[in-house]
Amino acid sequence: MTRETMSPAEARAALDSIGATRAQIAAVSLCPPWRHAAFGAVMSLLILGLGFPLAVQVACLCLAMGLMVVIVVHDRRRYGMFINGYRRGATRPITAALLVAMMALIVVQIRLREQGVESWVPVAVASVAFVVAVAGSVWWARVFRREMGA
Amino acid sequence: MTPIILDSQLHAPARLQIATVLANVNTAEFAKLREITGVSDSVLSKHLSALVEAGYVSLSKSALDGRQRTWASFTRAGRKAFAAHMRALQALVASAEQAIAAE
Repeated sequence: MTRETMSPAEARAALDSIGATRAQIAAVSLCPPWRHAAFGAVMSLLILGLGFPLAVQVACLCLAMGLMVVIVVHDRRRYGMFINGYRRGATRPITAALLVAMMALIVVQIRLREQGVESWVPVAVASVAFVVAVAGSVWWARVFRREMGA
Repeated sequence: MTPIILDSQLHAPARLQIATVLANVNTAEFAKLREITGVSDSVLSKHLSALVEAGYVSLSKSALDGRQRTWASFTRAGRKAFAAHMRALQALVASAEQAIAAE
């Protein structure tokens, strides 16, 4: 780092330029509804598998990972950038809340499997995970765009 | 009073734009950075090379749609430098506003 001279007016212009660039990021980062649904599907597949025997767990895990790859490739192709959910900033509390909710659903799913419940019950738990994950994804995207000045 | 220190590596407007993008995303493609900065390929390459040399940016290549593409990400040093540069800019503006208010 070196010292540079800059007038307050130039500093104000630089800050304005940063704001304008952030607004550009907000403009290009609008997620289509299916993108939120795809994230919800990844989360619900991970939780769905835990309610069934090992073979189903592995199949669900593979499907979820495959879908995750599709999401990453889509984001890179459509936006020309990739934003990790764990990024610093206003979105981090949402990521943390989503993680806590998913962990709670994982615990519930494993407990229910141990109790030998009927097969529709794990599907219901996975459906709850889908709704929570989609809501979290929509909320995350809104907060991100607001943080970028949209 | 703490001296206000600006980072010469982030001084150029295009570099500030590149840094702003990389501070908010994990990785950005060369073409997206060119679109946002509005500079030519060669100018963007020069800015990215300077930022790589300063240890602020790392570049990687990966194929997408059958073509090799260049992706840029901030290093930890780059993220810290950008945050410090932002604070310095805000301090400069704040000190000017205080001076005006005191008159």
